[in-house]
Amino acid sequence: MLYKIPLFFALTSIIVTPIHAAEEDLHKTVEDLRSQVEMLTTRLLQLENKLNNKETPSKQVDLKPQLDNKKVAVGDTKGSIKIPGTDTSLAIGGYVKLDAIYNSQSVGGNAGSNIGDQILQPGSIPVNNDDKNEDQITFHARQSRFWLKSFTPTDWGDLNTYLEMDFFAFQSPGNERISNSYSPRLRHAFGSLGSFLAGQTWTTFMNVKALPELNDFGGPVGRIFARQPQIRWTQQLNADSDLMFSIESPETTLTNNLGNRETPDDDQYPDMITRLNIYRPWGTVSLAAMLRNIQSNAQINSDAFGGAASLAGRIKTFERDDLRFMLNYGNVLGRYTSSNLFNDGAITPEGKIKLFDQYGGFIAYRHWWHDSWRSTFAYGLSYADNVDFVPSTVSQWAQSAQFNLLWSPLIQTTFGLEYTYASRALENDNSGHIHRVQFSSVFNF
Amino acid sequence: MKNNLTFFCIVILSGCVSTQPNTSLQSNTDTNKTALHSIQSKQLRVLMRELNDLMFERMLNEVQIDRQRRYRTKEIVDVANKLLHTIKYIPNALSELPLDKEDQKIFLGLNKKLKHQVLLLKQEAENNYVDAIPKTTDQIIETCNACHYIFRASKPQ
Repeated sequence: MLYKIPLFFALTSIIVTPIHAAEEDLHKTVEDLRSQVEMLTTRLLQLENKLNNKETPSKQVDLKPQLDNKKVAVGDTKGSIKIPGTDTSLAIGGYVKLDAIYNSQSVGGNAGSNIGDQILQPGSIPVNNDDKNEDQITFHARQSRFWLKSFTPTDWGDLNTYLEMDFFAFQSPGNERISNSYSPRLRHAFGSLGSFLAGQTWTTFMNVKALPELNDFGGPVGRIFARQPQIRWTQQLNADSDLMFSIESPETTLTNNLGNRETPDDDQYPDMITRLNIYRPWGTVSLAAMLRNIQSNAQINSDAFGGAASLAGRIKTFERDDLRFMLNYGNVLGRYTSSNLFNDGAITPEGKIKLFDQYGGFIAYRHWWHDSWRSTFAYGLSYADNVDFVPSTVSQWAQSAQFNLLWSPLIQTTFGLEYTYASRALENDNSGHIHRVQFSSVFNF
Repeated sequence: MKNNLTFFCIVILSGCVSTQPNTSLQSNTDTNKTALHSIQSKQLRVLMRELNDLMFERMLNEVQIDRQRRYRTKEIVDVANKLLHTIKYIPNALSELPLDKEDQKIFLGLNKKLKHQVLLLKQEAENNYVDAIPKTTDQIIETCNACHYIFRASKPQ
């Protein structure tokens, strides 16, 4: 309609023009008016288009949040999904593992109490190999594992929660006669926000990355290995290092006058641990220190403070190979090393606690034969400088050597065969050893 | 065209295979860029292998493994950025190389494809889409190999 207004005025002016006006002038005026009309029409169309373009995106913006709430998005960690309408990524996973094991000598005990036949427990290695226990075979799938985790980025740092279980519940083992109904047990249950962690997980004293890749669940001898409730702070020092501080659940284990283990559960101080981690292109190294209070109120009130240190690492060597190691020394290593082969201290004839030096460690080398074939050789040793008054039936040292060949045709599966030699000696020089051959299959999900 | 390609192949292959400076050729700077993209592809392969090897970790818990994955994906982003920088300079070599328009078009097409794939890889790494990274890395290596194959095929035996 707008273009008609100038047209009207123009035509009016034409009518009132004197009749004697030149025909050429009239023609020129009409042409001018026509071009003006065309220009206005074009401008009008441009305005209409602009208006339409503005309306279209505003409709999309309104719809987008509704669509996002209805679909499941890929999460921020591998294999996770985002809970709709939140920033939380949730994932489940785990693996199914079968172990088929031949032992040159059984640790003894009925099914359910023969955990030493299923994993290497240095304290269970039979001494005096001429005793009545013969060789034996055992199958189990108890290491099969299930985990659930969440990840949420926040202004305070990453918020993680993690829960993990397997079926190695020592307190409620299933029978092997009918259903092998092993109970699940808690492995990890922790949350972390930024640098702060609280819950049950690997002890800070232990560098998990240093542990070798073995079929056996318990070896090698000499490793630091414990999971326990704790409160931990990790302070990032720079891009290549951090420092951890933690207080962890205490538990005292003592050797009594008969040479047996006592766990008095009278602890009054948490275990205090700090660990420095260094990450470099060539690998990772850590140095950990621990302060513990060993306490018992069983006979008379007695306690003793002691310390321990652990140097551990994983060093890249040739191409894909790596060298892993752990060296430990202290007078309170006790339950932290070699599956509690030695106790944290001993009870003197007067009923007081006496600490004693222990040391141990392992070295392991992993070599890749091919993209999917690899082997690990591991040797470990643990030694205790026992006090004079303990019975001569306590363990003095243990060692293990393991060699395997593992094959992963797919990244989710590993099949492997492993040979283990392990031996143990007592203070009275009695000793024994086992040979073990273990086939394992792992299917990740 | 064949002579041009021969010269081009010598320049490119000397850059890919050897790190020794070749004073007989004039385009050393450009060949170094080519050598760089080869090195960066190898870095990517190593990082990918390390990511895969995390699947064999049975002692680390998943939160620790995720942390390790994030370190690796950050490194992948760094390598992708370096690759993008290198790719940006590769077409500059053409002005000094005696290639006809047809060869230049093929070369630039592959360069553009490589750039697109590296950008995709960078996005995947930034967003921690770990499962998508192997496929994109394979595609990058395929593009590199395709480029080498095309021009090596024209090289006289």
